[in-house]
Amino acid sequence: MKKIIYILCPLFMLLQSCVRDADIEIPGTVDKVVIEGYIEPGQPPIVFLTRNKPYFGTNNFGSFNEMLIHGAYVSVSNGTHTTVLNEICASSLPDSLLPLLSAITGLDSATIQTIDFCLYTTLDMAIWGEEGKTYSLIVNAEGKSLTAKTKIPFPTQLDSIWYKHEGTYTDRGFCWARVKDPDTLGNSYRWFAKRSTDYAFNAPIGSAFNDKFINGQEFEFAYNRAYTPGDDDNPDFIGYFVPGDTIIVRFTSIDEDVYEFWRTYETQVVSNGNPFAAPTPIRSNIKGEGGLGVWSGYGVWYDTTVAQ
Amino acid sequence: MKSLFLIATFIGFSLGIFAQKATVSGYVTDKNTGENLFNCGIFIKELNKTAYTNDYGFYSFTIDTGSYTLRIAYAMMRTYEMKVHVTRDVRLNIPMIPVETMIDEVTVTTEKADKNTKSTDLGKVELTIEKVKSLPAFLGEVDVLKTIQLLPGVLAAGEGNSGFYVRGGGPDQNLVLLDEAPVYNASHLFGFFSVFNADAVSGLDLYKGSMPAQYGGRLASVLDISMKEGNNQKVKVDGGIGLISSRLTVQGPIKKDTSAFIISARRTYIDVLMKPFIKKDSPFAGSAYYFYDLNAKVNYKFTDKDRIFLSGYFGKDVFNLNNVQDDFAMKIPWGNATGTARWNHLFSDKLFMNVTGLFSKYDFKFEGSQDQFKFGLKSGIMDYSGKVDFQYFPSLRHNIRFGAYYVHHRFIPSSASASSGETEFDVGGTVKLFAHEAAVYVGDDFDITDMLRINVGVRYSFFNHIGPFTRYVKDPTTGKNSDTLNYAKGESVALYHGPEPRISIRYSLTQNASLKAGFTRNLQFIHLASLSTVSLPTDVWIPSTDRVKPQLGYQYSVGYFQNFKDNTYETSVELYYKEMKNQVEYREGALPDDDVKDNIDNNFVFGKGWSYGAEFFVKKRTGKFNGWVGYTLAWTKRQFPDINFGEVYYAKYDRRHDLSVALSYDPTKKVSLGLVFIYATGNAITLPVSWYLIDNRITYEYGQRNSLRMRPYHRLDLSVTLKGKETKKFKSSWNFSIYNVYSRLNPYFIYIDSDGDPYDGSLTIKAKQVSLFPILPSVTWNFNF
Repeated sequence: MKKIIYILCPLFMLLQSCVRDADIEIPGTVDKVVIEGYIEPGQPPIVFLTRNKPYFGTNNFGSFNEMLIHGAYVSVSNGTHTTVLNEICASSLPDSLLPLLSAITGLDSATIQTIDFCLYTTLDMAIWGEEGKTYSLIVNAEGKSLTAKTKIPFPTQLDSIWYKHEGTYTDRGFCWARVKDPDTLGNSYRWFAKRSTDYAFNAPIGSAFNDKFINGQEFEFAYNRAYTPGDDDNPDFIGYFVPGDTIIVRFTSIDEDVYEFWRTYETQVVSNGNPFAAPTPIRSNIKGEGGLGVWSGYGVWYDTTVAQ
Repeated sequence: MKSLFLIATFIGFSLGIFAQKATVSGYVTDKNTGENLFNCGIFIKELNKTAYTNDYGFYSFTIDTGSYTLRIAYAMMRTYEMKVHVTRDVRLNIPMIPVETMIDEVTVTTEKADKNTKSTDLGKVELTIEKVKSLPAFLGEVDVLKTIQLLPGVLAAGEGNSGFYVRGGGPDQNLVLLDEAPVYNASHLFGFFSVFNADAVSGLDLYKGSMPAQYGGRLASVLDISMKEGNNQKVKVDGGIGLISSRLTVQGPIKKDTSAFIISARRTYIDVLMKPFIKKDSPFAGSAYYFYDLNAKVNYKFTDKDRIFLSGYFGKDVFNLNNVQDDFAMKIPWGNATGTARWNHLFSDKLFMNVTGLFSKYDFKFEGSQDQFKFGLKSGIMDYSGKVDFQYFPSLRHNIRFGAYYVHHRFIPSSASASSGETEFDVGGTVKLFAHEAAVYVGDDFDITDMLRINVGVRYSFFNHIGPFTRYVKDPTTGKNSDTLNYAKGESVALYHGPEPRISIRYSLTQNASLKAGFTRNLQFIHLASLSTVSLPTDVWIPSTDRVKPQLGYQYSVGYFQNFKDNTYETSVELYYKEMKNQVEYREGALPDDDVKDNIDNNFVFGKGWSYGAEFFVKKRTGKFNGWVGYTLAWTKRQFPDINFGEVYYAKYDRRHDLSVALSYDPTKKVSLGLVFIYATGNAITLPVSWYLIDNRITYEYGQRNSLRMRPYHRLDLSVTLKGKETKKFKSSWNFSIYNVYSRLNPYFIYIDSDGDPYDGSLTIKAKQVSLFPILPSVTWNFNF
């Protein structure tokens, strides 16, 4: 359904329209704590804490650095064991760990260093992710007490993945996969992929889906390649894999609240600026006054293919 | 004591029959075409009373025997005065002669055109198609819906949009009738054009205030549009060639004086015009958009007592999109169809009956495919209905209507299908919902005294949602499906019924001034669920169910009406207060696919609304220079426990000020000028109040519902119509219209745009405004022979 809208819009624009800066005053609110945290099997929990920013009309924004929240109390519990996470900043890490930070944040090493990116994590392996377990997060920051719960579901395995040319093209295409959804209703997924040359997994828009329509079925599906920094140098190939790419897929299973977050998040990304869509507030799984964002548990399945 | 006196007076009038009585009745017609003229006033000079023809052109009044002077006046017709000597019941069919041109001296008459002050009508407007055609038209397309938007209390849904809101009511609260058949989506191309081809329409009545008892089923308004009947004297062809569409209408007698037909067609050719600009190797070759309309009607007079009419409308929008390179194809057809079969019968000079069988259908379909994926979506509504209306004229003082109405609804609220290659996705199949709706009514419009006239009526309506139906029951704590309830075919799911009293009173202060007051209670059993902020063909109609209660509306209105200079100028001030209960909205953040494999109403939340305002109207009825100015000051609010944290918010079509000016001026017989000016407060909108980063992307936090305002909307349109050389057989004219003369960039919507990188400080976030139409000239050539 959304697709028509995207296509009609430019059509209308093309016909007669005109875009210019709007003359409107928008009051800002700036007192939220934004949580972006995740946990997956065999890995430590990772939590980014940032502030939201007011919308000030046409002002430029300063450094990202001032959005980071330092010195917060962050703890993760699996029901039997609780660990307080430590704040780790790029400036305090050896350069050899920068690629790891890039993989975690999706940002290149230079950016991480420039903005001195910080995150909360722990080396306490007793709290690292395990399939089937539920993890509670507590964040006390900026005078706010926030909590969230997420489960790491057992992953659903992909039967196979492969590359296929798109339409009449012979030099670009998408990544395909076959999966058998379990018979129980309520399985939700999020798709990530990267080329062997990318430093982080990226999720394309529409990465989150659930089995509402496909419960218990075996089916094939395809994803385009998520936007990656540097893509603008070759705009014709944005969204495509090309023959020769080694494609690594990280197919994750998520719980329903996490699915709702990512689904509404992705809907907002595509519906912003669309007159035919209602504004999409994001359904956060963060509880407590003044919190935004998500605490995601991922059950993970990896697969690799070489595009031909 | 006072009421006793009133009743005594009333009985006195009714029973005090010492003189002989006789009934004068008949049809008023256009002599040139044989078409019936409705709402035509027959003024009886000696009694200072006016009788009006009904919606089928029939009138009847009973008076003491004697000599009378009748004066019959109708827009664009020569005023007709005759002496009649009434000794017994008489059938008097009155053929009216049209004036030749707009500026014919005869139209500058001092006729008793005082219906606005003399009737009990409150919040009612009648428009002839000639008036509609005298105003500037958007892209040359004359549009009745855009003309009614120029009336006070009626708001346009948006730039270039034919959708309308009446006195704070939603778009689904307007009952739009074409020859009595409901039209469920009255617009083409996302609202830019209405489905009503002006060449096929003879006129319209809009009730925004006191709805008489014969109408029901909606809270806000009734727009009753009549199709032309067809010329039973001679074959006539009308046509027009415009920038985006062409029209052709053929009408004529099947048998002279007895039967006639009319067929009217219109088609756009954006697709044909665009074709040369889309290269064959373009990725979008094969994409096209067009719409067409077909109206047809036949009528047959068996005798003076029996007539039948058959009419139909069929219209369709087709939008195809192909992208060969991406192996992507999409088809979106949607459209309306209506059918009306009508039988008018006169039991006596005093009792008129209209029996109608009706059909109405609206369908929306979407078919898309990319590679091996296929996706389909359809929604729609289909009605079969029948009604019988009686009109009884016992005396000149009374006009009694009673009748019954039944409709069988079939709804398809968004049914989806999807597949990937061989695999069919289970998206729930086609869901159909069924319901019966029925009503009985009685009403009387009568004079209590010469000063006091009252229109009182009551409608009692029923609604029954029946099976087959599957209810997905939600767990109250988790909000997830916990159970399903299945209803068998025909089994009652929900039954609602209730009275709808209607009353309006007119008190004459002087010959030219009156005070009016009205009260209505309305029930609405069907609802339009709209996810988007503009009206779309994807909006779906759904019935009242066990979860969705019928909408309930109360309206209180008062008005002061005064005419000046022998009714050349009509003025009025109307005040209204409306309460709307059981209003329906999608819950916050609802997404289109929430409805799949679920009841669509499980995603609804319920609340109330209210609106109040004042409407000022000044109209110059006649003369070379005529037209009107309307101004509305209004407030429209909503309160839903589950929206906006339960706090009161303004409806998106809350518009504090709304000013419309519609003027025409005919300096010579050959030239006619038109002007439209509109000023309206900006729409209420919801925008983000802050942004943050998730997954390295800008993400927005939305603020309070409709808490911000777009800039005011204003626009000036001008038109000039030049008549070509006329021969006896052939007439033509050129119409030049300019839309948005000073090219005001009115906001159509506002969105937030971000540019740059949040990590290197280059990020800028701006609110951007999109405007649709700058200055747009257009030209249309019209002809008839």
